[in-house]
Amino acid sequence: MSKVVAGKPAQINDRQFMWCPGCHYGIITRLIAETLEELGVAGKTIGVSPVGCSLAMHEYLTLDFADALHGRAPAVATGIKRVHHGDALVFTVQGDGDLCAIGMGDAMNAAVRGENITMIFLNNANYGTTGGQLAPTSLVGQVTSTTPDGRDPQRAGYPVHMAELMATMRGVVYAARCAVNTAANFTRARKALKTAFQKQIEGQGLSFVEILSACPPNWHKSPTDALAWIAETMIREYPLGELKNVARVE
Amino acid sequence: MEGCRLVSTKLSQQGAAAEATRVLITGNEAIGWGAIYAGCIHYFGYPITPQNELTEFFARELPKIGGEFIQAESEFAAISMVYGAAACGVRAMTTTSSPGFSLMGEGLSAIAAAEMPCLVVDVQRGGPGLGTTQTAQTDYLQATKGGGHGGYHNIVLAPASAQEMFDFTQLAFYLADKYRHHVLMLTDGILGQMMESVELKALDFGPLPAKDWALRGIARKGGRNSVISSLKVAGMAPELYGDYLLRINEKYQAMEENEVRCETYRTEDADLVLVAYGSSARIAMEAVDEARAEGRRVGVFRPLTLWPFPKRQVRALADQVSQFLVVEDSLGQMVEDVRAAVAERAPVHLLGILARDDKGGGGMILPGRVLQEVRELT
Amino acid sequence: MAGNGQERLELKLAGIGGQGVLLAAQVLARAGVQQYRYVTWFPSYGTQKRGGESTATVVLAQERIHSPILSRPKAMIMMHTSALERFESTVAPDGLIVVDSSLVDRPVSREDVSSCYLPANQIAIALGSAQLANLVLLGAFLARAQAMPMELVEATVEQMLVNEGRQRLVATNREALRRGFEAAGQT
Repeated sequence: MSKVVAGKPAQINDRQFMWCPGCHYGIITRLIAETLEELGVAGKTIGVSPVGCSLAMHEYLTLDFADALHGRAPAVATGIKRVHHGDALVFTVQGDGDLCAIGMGDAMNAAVRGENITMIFLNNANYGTTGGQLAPTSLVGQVTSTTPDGRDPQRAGYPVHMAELMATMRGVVYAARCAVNTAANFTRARKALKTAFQKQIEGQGLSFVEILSACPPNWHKSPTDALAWIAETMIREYPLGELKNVARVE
Repeated sequence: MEGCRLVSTKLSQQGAAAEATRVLITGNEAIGWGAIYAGCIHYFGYPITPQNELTEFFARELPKIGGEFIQAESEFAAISMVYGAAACGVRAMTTTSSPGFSLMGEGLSAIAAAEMPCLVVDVQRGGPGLGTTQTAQTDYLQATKGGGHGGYHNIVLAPASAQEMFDFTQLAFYLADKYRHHVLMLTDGILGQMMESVELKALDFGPLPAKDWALRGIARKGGRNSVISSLKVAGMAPELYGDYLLRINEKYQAMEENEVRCETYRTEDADLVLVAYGSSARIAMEAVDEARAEGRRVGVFRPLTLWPFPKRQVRALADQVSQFLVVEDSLGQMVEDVRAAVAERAPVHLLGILARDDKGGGGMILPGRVLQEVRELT
Repeated sequence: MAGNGQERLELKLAGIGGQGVLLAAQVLARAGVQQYRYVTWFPSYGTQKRGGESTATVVLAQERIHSPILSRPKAMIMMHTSALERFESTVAPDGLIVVDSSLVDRPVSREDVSSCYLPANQIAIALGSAQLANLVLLGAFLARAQAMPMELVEATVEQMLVNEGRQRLVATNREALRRGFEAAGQT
């Protein structure tokens, strides 16, 4: 009897991913599906999608999903979690603009409330869907379509470190930053996401996982150069690791 | 056509003899140049398709001329920034698309109540909700009936070419300052993304009152202070609610009297008149040329101001023609205003969004489809 | 071909996002500004930056252009099978369809239009990059339409590249146009 040693996670359907070559959202979709499968919770999981390329995840994952307006995912997730409580595992996926710009208020207030949800933050240092504009996470000097001469802190401020920011909030029990640019980083990211979901299952406040992702067309790099940029430049600005991991809200 | 002025003629009569440059640019960029030629160097916006060329244009050009560009964190931040800048007496603007325009609803209501002159551009996309990222004309009612709460009006300009987008932007700032009121320019994804040749020329519409209400610190105003506010609670506001309503009512009446603009195309001997604005008007005019070649007596009536709506002109046409066909990329919004103006003098048909060539988000009402409808009606 | 030339020239390009449909149309539009009084360029594409359907329509005319969108374009360039599938039936009778035979796997089935086949993608790769296929096809169209001097279009491409600081690409881009022009003469 042959044993299946590799395959597609059950939660991923047969639709073709629409993301660009070299985008990491496909990998991250797999990450989420594998983790839910391992924990055996896919059947009770409800996702909330943002406005941004990761919105398409609900086309590829066989899970209940709600689409939120731009930035409102934590608020929508709150509404869902306050109905189902422990009977549902609720997570959000959001990009840079969705979470750090228009959604900053909702994100911080979910943390203020210590909302028992899992927030997944996809950081690719630009607004991908709308064509590569500045994001709060863009690096100083980074050329974007609205900072054609590079991000100038005098005019456009400094990159925001969401995982660190979330870690300062009392209602947050887990905050981590990962990447999926290497197999080793993928494994660490799996572990972090599993921990995050477990915190929710234990009912202990808000868990937050930031995942660095590539956006080759808007970075004007090939997919392989984009991987290198993450390894050499992005990780220097956004160090990987667990920023906070506590058993319960203190 | 009595009372119906060709805007382009009016503009060229008033036009300054400034040197013109001819460029090939997108409609969105034409608005950008119009703003700069109008002396607007304060722009606050948020990325949203299909108007990102506008945000990017200002990001690129304003720093070169000492202007202020901010990519705000959201549309409601952006409209509040516009309010702040306008309160200081400068020309300020924002641009957005339908979902963003909804977010600006509260902000625009406040701007209306505080009577802050500024320009807001809505490059329409399919709605409701997040809808599509491509063209539509589904914000007509929202735009012409205010958009936010409280019963205010937007002056709504509806250009149909890159040249008009350039010219009307300058006109918008003039009207805003003339009436101390905001102006909305309603375009769509087709107009915004298409490229056309434009003559860049500064337009002069005449003298304007000084903005002595602007905020600049009492030291610069001889000790006199101004309060810019949308609040009308007695004791907490500079003006009684009733006085505000009286004054605003007169203002709106003046706008309806003086600022209607429209254009007719081949309507002189027409039996069927198509009514359309923006990109639909261009598609309608193409169909009309083909219908005329087939011997059909058809023309197009094109409102250039959607508010104030050219009611008198439509009513006059209703006495001349036997039927109307409204062509708009929605389930039927402008058709309500046309029917109200026609007041049952003639049938008013609708060719709307259900007549698109494709059910996907990128579908459009094509000239061939309009021609087909014209053939059936004539 | 009938009706597509000095007074009014129409061309619609269709392909997949990333093939340079919009850019090739822009080259024609910018060249056209110098010869025609009115010019419109209209893009249509899906949300994806890569992979979705992409079309662009150019109209050059001496009279005011009403609709930038054409129900029945007089000429089309098909850069992919899906383009031919979707748009073959929309081309005006007596119109022209230019096909990239290296990426389109079937011939034009209509008998009331003329067609021109060339392996543009292959020609482009031989020149150094598949990204040049769009200009190869544009060159072929210009050979058939005969409404605009090649030198004007080549100069336009050069100017566009110089404006972007990419002078070193000028030679291959001009060559791409010329190879397409020549290939059109052979089918």
